Amino acid sequence: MKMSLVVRTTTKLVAPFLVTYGAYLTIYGYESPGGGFQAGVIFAVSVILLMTAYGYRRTRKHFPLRIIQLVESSAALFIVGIGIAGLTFGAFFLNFLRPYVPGGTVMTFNIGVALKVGTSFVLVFYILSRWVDRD
Amino acid sequence: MIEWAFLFFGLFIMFFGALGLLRFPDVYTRLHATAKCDTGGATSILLALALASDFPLTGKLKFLVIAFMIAMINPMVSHAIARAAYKSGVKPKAVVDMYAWDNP
Repeated sequence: MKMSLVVRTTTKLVAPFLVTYGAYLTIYGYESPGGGFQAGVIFAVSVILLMTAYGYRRTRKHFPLRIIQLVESSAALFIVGIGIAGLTFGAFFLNFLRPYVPGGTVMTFNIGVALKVGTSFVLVFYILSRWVDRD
Repeated sequence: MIEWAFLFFGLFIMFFGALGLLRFPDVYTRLHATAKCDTGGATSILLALALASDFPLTGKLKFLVIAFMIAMINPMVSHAIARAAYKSGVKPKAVVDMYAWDNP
C-alpha cells in the first residue's frame, strides 16, 4: 500500500543522505563516537523508510530477499575469518593490519558488524511485512 | 553578534509553539502550532551554533548537514501525521471542513 505523494518524494530524496551518514559512522568509528551497530541501524532505517513509503511489493524488486540473506551470512563469516586470520600471525584477534590500514582490524570489524546488523534488521521487517501484505 | 539574533529568533519560535500546544483545542490546530517548532526553531539554533563555535570547518559542516536534514524531514512527517489522523476518523472541531468536499 502506497502513502501520499509528498511522503514518497521526500523519502526518495532523503534516503541517500542516510546511507552516506552510515558510511561515515562506519569508517570513523574507531576514533570518534559511533561504530558498527549504530551504522547498521542507520543502513536498515534507510531501507525501512522506502518500504514504508512504497510498499513491500515494489521494494522487493530492488532489494531481493536472497541477496540480503547471502550478505548477512557472508558478513558473519567475514568477522569470524578476520578473527581466525590473526592466529597465523601469532595470536588470536591479533591486530596484524596495523601498518597498512588506519585503525588496524578495528575498522574491518566495524564494516562487518555494520553489514550484518543492517541486513538482519531489514530481513526481520521483510518477514514481518510478508503476511501483512495485502496489495 | 549576528548569532545572538538567530538564537533569540529560535527561542521565540519555540516558546510560542509550546504556548500554542497548551492553548489550542484540537488535534489539527495543535499540530499546526507545533510543526513550526522543529523546522523554524531548531534550524535557527543550529545555525547560530555553527556560527558561534570555534570548531574547524568540518565541524561547522556537520551542524549544517543536521539542520538540512531536520528542515527536510519535519514537514513530511507532520503531513503524514495529519493525514493518518484524518483517515482514522478524528473529526476536526471546525465550522467549515473543506477537505470533506473534495473526497467524501
